[in-house]
Amino acid sequence: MATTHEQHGHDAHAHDDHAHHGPDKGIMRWIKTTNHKDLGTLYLFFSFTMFFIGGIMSLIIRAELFHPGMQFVQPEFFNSMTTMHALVMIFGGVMPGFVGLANWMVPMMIGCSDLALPRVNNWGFWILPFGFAMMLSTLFMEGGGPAGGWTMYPPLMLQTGNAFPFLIFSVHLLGISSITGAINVVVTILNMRTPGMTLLKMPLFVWTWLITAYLLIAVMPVLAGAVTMLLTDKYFGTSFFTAAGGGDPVLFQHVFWFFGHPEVYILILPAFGVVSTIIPTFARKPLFGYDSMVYATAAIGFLSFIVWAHHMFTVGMPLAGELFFMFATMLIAVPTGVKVFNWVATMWRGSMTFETPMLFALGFVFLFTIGGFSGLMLAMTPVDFQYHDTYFVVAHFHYVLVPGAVFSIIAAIYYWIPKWTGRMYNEAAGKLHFWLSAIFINLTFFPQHFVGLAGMQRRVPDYAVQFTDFNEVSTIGAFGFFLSQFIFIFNMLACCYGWFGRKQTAPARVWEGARGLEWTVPSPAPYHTFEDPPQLPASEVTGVHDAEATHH
Amino acid sequence: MFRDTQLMIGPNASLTVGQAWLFFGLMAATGLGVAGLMAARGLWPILPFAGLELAALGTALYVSVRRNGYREVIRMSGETVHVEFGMLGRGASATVSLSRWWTRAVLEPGAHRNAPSRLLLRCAGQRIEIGRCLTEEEREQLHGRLQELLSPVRPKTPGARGGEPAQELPFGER
Repeated sequence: MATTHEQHGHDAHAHDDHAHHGPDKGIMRWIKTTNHKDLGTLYLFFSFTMFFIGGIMSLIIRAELFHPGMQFVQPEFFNSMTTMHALVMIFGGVMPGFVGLANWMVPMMIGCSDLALPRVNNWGFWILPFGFAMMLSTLFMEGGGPAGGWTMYPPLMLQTGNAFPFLIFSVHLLGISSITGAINVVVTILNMRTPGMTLLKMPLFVWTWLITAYLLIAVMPVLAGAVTMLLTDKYFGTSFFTAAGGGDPVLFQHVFWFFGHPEVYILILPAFGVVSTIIPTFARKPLFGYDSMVYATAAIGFLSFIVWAHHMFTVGMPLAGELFFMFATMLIAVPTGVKVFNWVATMWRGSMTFETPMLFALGFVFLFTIGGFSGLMLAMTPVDFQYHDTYFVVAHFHYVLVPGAVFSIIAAIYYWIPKWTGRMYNEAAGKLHFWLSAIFINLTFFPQHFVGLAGMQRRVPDYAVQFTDFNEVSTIGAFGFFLSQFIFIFNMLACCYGWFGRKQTAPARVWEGARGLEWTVPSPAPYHTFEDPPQLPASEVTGVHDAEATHH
Repeated sequence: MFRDTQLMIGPNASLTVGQAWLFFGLMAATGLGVAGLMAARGLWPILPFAGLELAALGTALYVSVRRNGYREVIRMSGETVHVEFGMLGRGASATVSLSRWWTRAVLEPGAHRNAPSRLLLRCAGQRIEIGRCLTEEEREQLHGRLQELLSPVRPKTPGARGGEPAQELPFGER
């Protein structure tokens, strides 16, 4: 259908389009924008603002834990910090970070001009600042901020002061934002792929986001219902989770973790997609076992629904239940192992180079695997009785979420920032950032395995003197990691605003080994890309099946 | 001299109605299954949230799939311009015939600052809006193409000559 003379006409117009149809000027551009690139940028700026706020909270926690005894804050405020740190980092940092990447990259990767529902996309973003303003404002309310942990277990959570209804309402707002984003991504991926891009030719990042969005849509009503029942228990006299009225507080834990465990995969599946995109580029080989990667992602998504109770082995479940959840949890190691082996096999005999995105991707593979192994240890019911609610658990999930999810977001930004801005980042600063991050993150969290195994409890601002050395190391690591991130922030802002004389000289295909439709458009990517569905040449197909891999 | 041309305008679409139903069914089975099980355990407040969310998903899919089937066919043969509007599989719901000599393509700005532009075929007092499913850039491109095709002078596009067989513009049509 695409005739040659029409194509010529399109090119001629394309030039004019960009001159006349750029973004609006001023603040209203950002408030009213429905452009996926603008909203992706907004999501990423918001995400890193939240990382900064959540990071400050973590520094307060670590400063208090530098020495045993009470140092700087009251125990109630310490508990507020642990609660808010988690909520801010999960719902404000990691999730919007990945939504920002999806906004920027999914349309460009599947060859469409924007997301399916651009206005909904705008609303979805602008709910977030209000939701978080409300959540953070609870820290200044009578009775203090929520301090019962991000899991909001009753009856402890029901003792929260005036902050409680505001917390619940803000969780609802964040849920609405997540759902609108997920629906938008799903409909876009299913309906707006360029001709020739079948499901099994989609880039892995798009696949992982499709499954992530499915999980989000499936579990968000559970969270909404659970927190609403908490609200009615506190203010409307219901007894869903109030033992005095015949309710069951443990039931809340089941309901919460039925949402919470898929949520863990919501936080990590897009990271798998990012790493599956970056490693083939710098190994200069197609991804090994594309199909198995897709099926492994789907398998992880499915298994995430049937493992929730491994978070609550100590509540007194029947033995059969404990065995089921133990084995089901261990089963997740199989598809996750498939992924790790595929990444390693992709690098095997590749022409590898180690630019900053690759360093972060490699850091992800190595350190996420450590988090995976400690997860396997926690999956074993008998030993989990020892590990439960200790710093071993804190070390485990931080290894999964920081060198896992956060490293992958950083890797993705290094990888795509030349495409977004047309300016190359400073490679030396990027490498320095990686090495400092990798060293300090291990300094922060590795000692926590030891203190956890020795019995140091989480969510307590004081500890036995015997844990002092490891806690000092951990605190030094946390401050070092936080400060190291400013190298990244300045490096990226320099790309955005052209600081230090950086010019927009990045070519369309920034990385020699990069494949995919996003690399066929100029850098920086035009405000509107793919107004006509592009052709999908075989050379840009990232989903290379095993039989074709030898010819690629 | 004029050349015979057919332009078919429609949105790009990779999702069929059947696939949309399949996806929605899978999602509803998961969402309502979970909410139903919870409701059976007494946790009924999850059910309305699941229902609301599925309604939002259903609406998004319905809107997208409905957009997919929309077509506008502009057939220019001899001295006549035929414009047909309709949905795929349902035939033309409206047809207009205009004199090619007197028809002009006009691109008007939207009613207010953020409204989309309007591409109109104007002929002796008749105004027919086309290309509503297109983006701003696509509309501008189509406008230029229509001006070319409606002008009896030599076409500007290299290689395009009068009397060629009907050709289609690749505006999302596959």
